Amino acid sequence: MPAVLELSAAYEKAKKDRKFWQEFDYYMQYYVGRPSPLYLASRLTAKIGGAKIYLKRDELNHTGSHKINNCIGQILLAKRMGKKRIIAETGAGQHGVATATVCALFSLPCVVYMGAKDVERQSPNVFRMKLLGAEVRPVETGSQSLKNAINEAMRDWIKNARDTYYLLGTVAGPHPYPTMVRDFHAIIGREAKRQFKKVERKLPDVLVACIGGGSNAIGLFHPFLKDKVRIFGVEAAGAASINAGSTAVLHGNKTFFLQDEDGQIQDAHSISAGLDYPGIGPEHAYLHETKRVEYVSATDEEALEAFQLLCKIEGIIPALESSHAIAFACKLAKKMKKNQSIIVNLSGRGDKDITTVAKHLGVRL
Amino acid sequence: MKRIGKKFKTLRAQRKCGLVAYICAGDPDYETSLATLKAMPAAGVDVIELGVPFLDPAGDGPIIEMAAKRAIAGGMTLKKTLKMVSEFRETDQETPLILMSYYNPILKFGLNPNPSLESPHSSYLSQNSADSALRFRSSPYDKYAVGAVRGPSQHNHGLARDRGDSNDGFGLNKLFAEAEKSGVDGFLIVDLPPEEEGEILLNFSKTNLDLIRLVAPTTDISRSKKIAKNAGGFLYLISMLGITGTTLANARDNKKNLENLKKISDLPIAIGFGIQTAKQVREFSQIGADAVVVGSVLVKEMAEKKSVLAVINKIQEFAKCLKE
Repeated sequence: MPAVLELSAAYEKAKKDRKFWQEFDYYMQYYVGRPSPLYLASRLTAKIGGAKIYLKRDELNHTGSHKINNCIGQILLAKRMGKKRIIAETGAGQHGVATATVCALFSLPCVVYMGAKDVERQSPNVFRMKLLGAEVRPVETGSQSLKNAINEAMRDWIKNARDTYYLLGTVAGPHPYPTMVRDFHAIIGREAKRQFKKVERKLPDVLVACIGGGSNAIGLFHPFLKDKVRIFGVEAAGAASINAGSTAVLHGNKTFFLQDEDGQIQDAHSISAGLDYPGIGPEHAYLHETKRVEYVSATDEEALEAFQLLCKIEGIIPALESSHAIAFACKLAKKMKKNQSIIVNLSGRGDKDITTVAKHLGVRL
Repeated sequence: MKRIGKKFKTLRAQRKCGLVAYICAGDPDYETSLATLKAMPAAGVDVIELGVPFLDPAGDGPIIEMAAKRAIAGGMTLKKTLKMVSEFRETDQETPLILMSYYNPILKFGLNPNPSLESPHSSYLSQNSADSALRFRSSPYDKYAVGAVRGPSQHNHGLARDRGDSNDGFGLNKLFAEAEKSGVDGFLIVDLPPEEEGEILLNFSKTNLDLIRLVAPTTDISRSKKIAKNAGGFLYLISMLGITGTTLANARDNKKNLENLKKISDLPIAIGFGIQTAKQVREFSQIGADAVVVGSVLVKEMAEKKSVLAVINKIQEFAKCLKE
């Protein structure tokens, strides 16, 4: 707890400091490459034959996903706090790569915990992290996936709290992480709102984003929460914490988790490692309870289909995570009017997923 | 007088340092675990700390995590842990026993007084989710989202679902009443910070249970006061930065923390984490703590030798080293 309280106080202070945000904006523009485009996928729209589908191209960010937004924000905070060492957890490896990247940029030693199974599944990202100078520690306990990687990172933090900064990758965990990570990703929604207004002179009708822990989704949703916009979060069917989980406490937050009747947290199953987390950020649980956001799910098969469709029709290889959002958006668009619009968060690029996709399509690389 | 208070009063009167010993309930199986429990007091254990197995014990090291995994694979649950305690109480009415648990198994019990009831919304499912999303926009099902397809991990446990925080305390109330009846004297809930303890305390007030609290070495005085305020039984001072059963703790480094804690609370203080050798037990018993806690070393002994006797021998070895 003292470590979390220290972090919370440091973030509160940084949040009020204009210089902190100036520095954040600087890196967002010149290092990450923001703003990311809001692209009208006209060929996809024509094929579906309903509402216009706009893609928020966060896959074009440096490192290939939205994860870098949060990493820049947190590394600037770690620097302010005078921390000498960075630790992180990763599932698919996107957050690990983004963390290793900012650690290289700011010359801080970096240890990334990753479930042993994920290390095996995501070997290109493991090598990327190593190239960037990070040490990847495979986690052999439990189901050897993201849940266990977070356990291990927390254990490291408990032990080394004095000099170590835990750079958590999603909008979950103990306060202030859910709020802080949201604040850093909210740039996605702010840009999208501005960009959409410029083109369409109004607000979009619908927002769609995929949800694992929920960081890219909350980033897109948050600036629109007070607007008259329908919002959908798309879970992976085998990791549907909201649609199939219940209230639980793990990793320092009380939210929805997949669990059994004795309160043991269950493993999630998804074709996309990034959605393979049995819980969801507490703000999403709140948005679900207040009915502000509607949470739906897409199956592995639907995601694979959307993945291939976007490749062929738009020349964009989406991450399997984002493919869940695209799958749902396509279904929804069909039922909507042509003068209506959907913004889908294309949160990551799919180069990392080609081996998984090939395997499912029965192709040997 | 409560068992824990009575025990520490006796120890203090005798100017003795006590031994708190941890084992994981159901490791390697129910019978072996119960037999160990029954043999612990005679071997020199003053307070028993019985672990409720949890698959994600972030405050513990791999030794205890593996023990939990074995226990859960063998079907161990919180309910069966209570049953084990009541069987232990058939032969022992004196030795204080606390349950060490993570919050979620307790919370789950509290939120889920009747796990056999199926939630009304768990049966609708639709592949055509976009369609229903639009059609049922204002339907009562809206709250539960649309198009849910349950994954394999929910399939087996779907009946146990329950939603929201509509907890009326019935479940927790029942759990603590049952725990007290079984002969439990207190709970140590590892991942429950004092900021969140209200509901637990409310339900505790109807029982004789003590809420045992951990104090970390990084905890400052003002926070220690906050922690001690509603603590009962004894305070558990963590002897090093880290998790259980990994690095060895140093007794001398803990003198100051111990003295600081004594200044702000009259509760007995037990000190533990990273105490694995007889030499350490001796040193820690000499710095002024009311008790020394050992855990992982016993769990490891059980994992390696699968024998009640081996664990009991280890306990006896430690008990001999305590300061008289």
